[in-house]
Amino acid sequence: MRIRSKKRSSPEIDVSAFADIAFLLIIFFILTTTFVRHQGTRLDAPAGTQDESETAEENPTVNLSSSHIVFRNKTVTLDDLRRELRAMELPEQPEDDRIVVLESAEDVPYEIYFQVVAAITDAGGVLAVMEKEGGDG
Amino acid sequence: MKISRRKRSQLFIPIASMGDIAFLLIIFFMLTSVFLQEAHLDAAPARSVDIDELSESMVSVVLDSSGNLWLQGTACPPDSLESAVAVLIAHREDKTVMLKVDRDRPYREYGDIMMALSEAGAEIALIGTRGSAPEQGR
Repeated sequence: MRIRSKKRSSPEIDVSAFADIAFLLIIFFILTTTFVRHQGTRLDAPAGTQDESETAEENPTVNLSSSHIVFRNKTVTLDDLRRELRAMELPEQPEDDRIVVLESAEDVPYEIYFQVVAAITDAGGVLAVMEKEGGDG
Repeated sequence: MKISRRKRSQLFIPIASMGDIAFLLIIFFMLTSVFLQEAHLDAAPARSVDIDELSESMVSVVLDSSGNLWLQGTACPPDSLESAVAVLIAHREDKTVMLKVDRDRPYREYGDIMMALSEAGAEIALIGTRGSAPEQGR
């Protein structure tokens, strides 16, 4: 007698839903992702120390306190400072003449400091930072 | 005469490779994404209208609203900031360090941080957001 071998069905895993799962994952990541573009200003500051009296005479100085911005010994607003810095046409000056000295009192909030640094950098100035003792200067 | 209907072959779009394509896309995005290390920190960004977009840097320092210092999203004592940053940027071509400070922190805190970063040989990028803040009084 001839024995017929039983035909076995080959095992198969259904992967047709994998594509749906993968695309759902992609859609989830697209919807939950937040793209961050950093905005700010580069602190272009020369290294080294300089004699204070010499600096005050040669380079324009911005004095910062928590309530005032003093530029060239005159109290100004941030807009005034921007105007005066632009009027100096700093990008066309030689490197040494582009230096703007920034003195800050210890209690100056970061936002004011940041705005002044950004204004100086945007006007083409090179920042020289000097530390100042005391509170409200 | 009997006209036999012509059997039309059923239209079939092979979608077997769609799963592979989708997984390749997921793998691509996973490998190219850079996760924000300081996302959990509370630091209100300073506002200014004079800022531009900056290129991404891999080293970040944050001074949060409570005055705590964070390097790469991990708490860092101020005394060890200089040495830690120096190690991080030692073998990098781009020495830029992104510094984000809460807008209300005083200079006595962020001044020392900027000094430490400068001593470590970093190029400092001050991070803020575009916008106008209350005007400084005359």
